[in-house]
Amino acid sequence: MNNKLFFPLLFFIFGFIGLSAQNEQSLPWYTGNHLLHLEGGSYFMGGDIKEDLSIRQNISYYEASQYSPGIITPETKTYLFGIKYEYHLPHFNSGISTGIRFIGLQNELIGYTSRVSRFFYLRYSESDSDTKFARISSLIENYYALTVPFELRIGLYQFTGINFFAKAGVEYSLINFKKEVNIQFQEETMMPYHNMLVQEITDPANTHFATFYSSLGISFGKNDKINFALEVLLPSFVLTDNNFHLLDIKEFDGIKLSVYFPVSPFKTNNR
Amino acid sequence: MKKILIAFVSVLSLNLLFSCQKMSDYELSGTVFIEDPYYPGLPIYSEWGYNTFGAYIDRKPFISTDYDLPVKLIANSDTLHMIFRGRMGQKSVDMTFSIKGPTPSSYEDLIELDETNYNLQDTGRLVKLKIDGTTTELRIIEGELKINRVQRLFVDEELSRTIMSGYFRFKTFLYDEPVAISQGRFDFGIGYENFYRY
Repeated sequence: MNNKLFFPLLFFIFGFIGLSAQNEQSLPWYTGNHLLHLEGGSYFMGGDIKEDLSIRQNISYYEASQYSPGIITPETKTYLFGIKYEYHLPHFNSGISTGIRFIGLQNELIGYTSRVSRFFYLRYSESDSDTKFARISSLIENYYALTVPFELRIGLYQFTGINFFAKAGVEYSLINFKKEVNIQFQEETMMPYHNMLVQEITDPANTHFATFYSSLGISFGKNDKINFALEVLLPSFVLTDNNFHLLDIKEFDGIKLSVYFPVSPFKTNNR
Repeated sequence: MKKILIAFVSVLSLNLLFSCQKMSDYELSGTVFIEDPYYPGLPIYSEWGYNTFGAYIDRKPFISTDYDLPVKLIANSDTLHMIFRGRMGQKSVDMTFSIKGPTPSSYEDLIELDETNYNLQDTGRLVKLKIDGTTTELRIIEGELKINRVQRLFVDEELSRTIMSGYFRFKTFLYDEPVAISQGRFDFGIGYENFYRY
């Protein structure tokens, strides 16, 4: 089955089971509670080095020895925090939410030409007769965005004080603060060429950023009190292309911690 | 005392500079072998100075290795010799192309050979094959050596070496039997350590 369909389908199956498992209700279905979410976490993103970055080595080689062609390691670190409002429907033990989320992301390329040479060669200029390499210690790209998430949360199973849930959501970038590349040269004499090199090796990246994600989670706490939740993102997808200068990132997973606050007197079902 | 200090710092700086230059040269003389998916056993054709070459001798790959210097260029007054050193299976093989004509005086001057085609049947061309110590001068049936691209390579804005990339193929006789050397490709960095003029 297509990977992209598998997890959303799984999510809806779980959701359906969750809805079917509800007990008798005493409130009209549309009666809801207002929750405020504070969330923090990280996306675990992995991607391929962009093909138009001209690096002088076999980038599919994963070993560095005296004779090997070296190694290039892409690393991505992300963090996120946000605040959301959820309209929670006790009748369905589910809710919809939206808010604002800050994402910080750093892509880094580190390379070893061989076991003892902690740099890699990057071609930044090429003419008919001349080609120019720079010895690079690392390439770093920083990206910050303010996104608007829209999420559906479905309760799957509830004990006293423990609630298992599934969630699906999309987010879209409202503002892209910064998308810049920094070069750390092996030789400091190259610093005067920094900006020129950045211009040579980067093409304009997408100014939009959107993702689709789904997750499974568990929350602790009584319905009318503060709840603490842990979510594990299932393999999720970046919907926009050409988002970054250094890496092509299509998929990600991650982890999120949240705190839910009821912001109005809580209405519950009779259970 | 001050003079001694200045002299000491100068020597140290020169030593560091020399070490860096040597390290750069060493790394660029290494081999980056990326196998051609269309011609298994051979390196891809590249223009990066990957220090590789490869060709099929009939069906056997003759390729550069990690531990042998893959090429030496020897410029005499009227002949340029290009010695490709590699392996065919377990056998050590040298293939030498000798081209009569004007020769470069340094590796920087190799740029003059950019986009040069040599018909290996023409007079003044010689191809030799040395297999496990036995050298054979080849009688060429047909064939060519094409220097597709020559570039001066600058590393951190300083001239480092010259990259020479191209193709070769020919038909010849080996052990009284016709053989084809096909899909030949090379991508060399030529610098101080593998260019000779004498």
